[in-house]
Amino acid sequence: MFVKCFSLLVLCAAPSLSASPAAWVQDPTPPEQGQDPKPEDPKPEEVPVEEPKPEQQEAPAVPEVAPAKPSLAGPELFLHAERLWVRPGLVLENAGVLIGGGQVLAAGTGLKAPEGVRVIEGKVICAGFLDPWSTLSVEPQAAMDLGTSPATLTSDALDFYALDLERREALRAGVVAARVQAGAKSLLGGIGSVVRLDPAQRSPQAVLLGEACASASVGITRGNGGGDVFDRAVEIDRIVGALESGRRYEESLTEYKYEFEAWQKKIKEEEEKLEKDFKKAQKDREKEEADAKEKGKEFKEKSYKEDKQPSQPSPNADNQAMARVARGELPLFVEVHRASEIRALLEALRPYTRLRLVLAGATEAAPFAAELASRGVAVVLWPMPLGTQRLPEQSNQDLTLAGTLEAAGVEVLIGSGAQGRSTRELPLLAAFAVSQGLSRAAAFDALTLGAARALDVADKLGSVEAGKQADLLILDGEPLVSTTRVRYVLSAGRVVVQP
Amino acid sequence: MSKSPTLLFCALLLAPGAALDAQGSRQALAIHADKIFLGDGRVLEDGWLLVQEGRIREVGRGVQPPQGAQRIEHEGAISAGMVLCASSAGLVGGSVDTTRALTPEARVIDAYDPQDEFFARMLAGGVTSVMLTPGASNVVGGLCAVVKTNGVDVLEREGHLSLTLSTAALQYNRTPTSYSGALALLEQSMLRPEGVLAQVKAGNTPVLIEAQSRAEVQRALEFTAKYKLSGALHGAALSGELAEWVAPSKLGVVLSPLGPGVDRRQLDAVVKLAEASVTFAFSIDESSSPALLRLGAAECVQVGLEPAAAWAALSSSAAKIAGVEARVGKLERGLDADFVLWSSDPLDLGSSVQAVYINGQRAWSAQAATRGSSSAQGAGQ
Repeated sequence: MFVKCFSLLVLCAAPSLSASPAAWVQDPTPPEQGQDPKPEDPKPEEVPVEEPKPEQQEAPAVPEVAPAKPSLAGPELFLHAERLWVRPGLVLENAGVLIGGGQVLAAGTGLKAPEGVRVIEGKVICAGFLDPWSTLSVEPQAAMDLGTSPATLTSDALDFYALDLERREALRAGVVAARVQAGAKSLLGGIGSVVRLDPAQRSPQAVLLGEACASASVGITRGNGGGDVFDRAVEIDRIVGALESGRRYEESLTEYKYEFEAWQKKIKEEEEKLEKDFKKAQKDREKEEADAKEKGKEFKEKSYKEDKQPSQPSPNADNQAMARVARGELPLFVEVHRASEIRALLEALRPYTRLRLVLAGATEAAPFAAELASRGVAVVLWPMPLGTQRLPEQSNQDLTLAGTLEAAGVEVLIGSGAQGRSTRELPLLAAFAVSQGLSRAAAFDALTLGAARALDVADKLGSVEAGKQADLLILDGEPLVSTTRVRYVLSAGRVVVQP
Repeated sequence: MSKSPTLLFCALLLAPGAALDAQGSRQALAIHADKIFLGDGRVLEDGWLLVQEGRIREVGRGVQPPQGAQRIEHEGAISAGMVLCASSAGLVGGSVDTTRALTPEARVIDAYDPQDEFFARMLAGGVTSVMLTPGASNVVGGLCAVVKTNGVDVLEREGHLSLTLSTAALQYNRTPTSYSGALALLEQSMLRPEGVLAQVKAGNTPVLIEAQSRAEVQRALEFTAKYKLSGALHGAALSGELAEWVAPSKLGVVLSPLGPGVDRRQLDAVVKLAEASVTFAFSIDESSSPALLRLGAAECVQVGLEPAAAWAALSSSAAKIAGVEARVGKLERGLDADFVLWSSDPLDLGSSVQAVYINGQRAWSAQAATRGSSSAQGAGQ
């Protein structure tokens, strides 16, 4: 069936190709550039080459990464495997994936490789893994910056020319993308990004979502140590304070907007009235002026007084960022470990009903499992078995936490703990969580669709479905089993790891 | 970890163990499992492990459990207990004598503290034997020992002689202060007509040589070649890059810990060691969770190490390096019944330790630990 309607599928995929990929829209060469060839170009011989054809000019904003390729992507690669993990909970036997233009064009059973297209056979195909707690690709000093503020943009600190080795290692292990954070240990870390880890990709293609989440941390050891219990309480106050300022800021902006509109409306009405009564008023004025002259008095002009213009709240980038968090536009990732701090944080954030809270670390979260589940708070765990030397906030680590949270219905995610080099260990960390009670299904979800959903990139990553980005893995066994090896890794449809 | 939960944990361990001892040691034990990892690369599906009087009596498929044997049905895998090579943990009073360069007659067994929390932690992670070494601050550190993690058995009281040819043995306040000084001192002491070093020279006592960098490894290889010594190198992270020289020396290699985020280069070096058929073993820092032993092995498997070789490096090869392969490290008739019940393949980090047996006695189980205390459970991670 899939074979028959293949051409249809390509056609179906085409409009989404031209419209959706944000990475393409961000291409630094604006499409209009070609429409306006500068006559003073020092290399006139290149002009005819660059001169766009008329129909290209007429096309709306369809920027192309490679201008040589037609925007209507044909199939470029066909994968076939014994088992295709389409998404968590759906595994197809003997299935294929057709890839073109960096995207999945079709996925399912009964697909055949089109003529002349490269075919890769494997045992298992699944979506590439996503690390929701990393700093890989962030310039190292920025990653550890403790002086960030809510408006700090991680996308300003991305360095796609450093740590190539670490990113290649992460890819090799099947981690194709990560939520990365500048100021990862900062009280308020700013706005994090979701990036691809393929070292061959630079900005902007590598940036899947430039502004993906806000970040904060409470009670963690920073630099020389952590604070005492009072310092930690103050940290919660400051986070909630920033959120409240953001909320109020937005409220005052909205108030201002309406007040300004009302003010403008009133002026307009007043003007219309004056316009309407202009002739009469002119006559009256002339008469009054004449009267005054006659009586030898000074003529007093009637003045019209405008209402005072409402004052605009002074612009504040931090408040603006936190307002987006308060209204649920950006999720808020908070690294917090101790039970007392988790309790205080949950309590203080209760009034913010639209907030999308994600806890990271959450060492002592077990007693709050039911509340986390009912409030829809996801939790990112770092299930690395710790020995006797632990940070104070991690002293009560218990790896059964993942299973406990899952049983209570909490969305469990797994991250590498913002330690760049460990991003490659993400599948092994997931296995550790499995060993202590997390179901394999939940662990797979945590590394794929669950993470993609939490970071608002589920339209691009997390499953093997038509229209999604072709960031895929081909494995020689079941995913998340430590003896399984990654054979091939695809990033945006390109084979970036192969045996 | 504070001391009191540890003691509580030990008490919990010993109490039921002691009860079992009285009635259980003579009784045969027959365990049926989905998979049995023999330790020589073979994996038996659906097999039996028969244990009697603390030893393995039979391993195989279609084995008839004897009459009156206690039967255990295990849904999961069984493997030999892991062997940890070259650890300086669990020693009282410190194992480091920094004032003297040569302490050949020192015995690490004299500092061994079976009550140390370290052994309970290792046991819960599936490690049943540990080779104890003196610290690395002496050129000649003393004699290693091999103990079981049940706090009772000692497999070897006077094993390898520990030598250090790394910078760790070079102190600023006593000789030697340089590599050449260290080797000169070592050469000189090899001339002693009797004592431990004479035994080493005669080939009766193997050596364990600490060497970190590749230059140090090469120096160690030259030294052992000159005196035709047997034994192993210790700590040589990149010795795999020298595999063509290490292999002919017949020395084993105890790798430095491959902790989280370790260099890819170190992982590749391990694969090279295996390709050159060098006997090697993984190790961990004394403060680490024993799960990191398997993490290091799994990371190597991910970059190409054969799973069988990775498992050997945690069990049989480690036992061979420690010189106790005739007692532990495999599931084989006649060997000590030291084994681990896993939820699945022991190399899969998604597998957990469910119970650990030493000499056919249950020394640790996840169930008992959960019932016992949360700190004991923590040790199991």
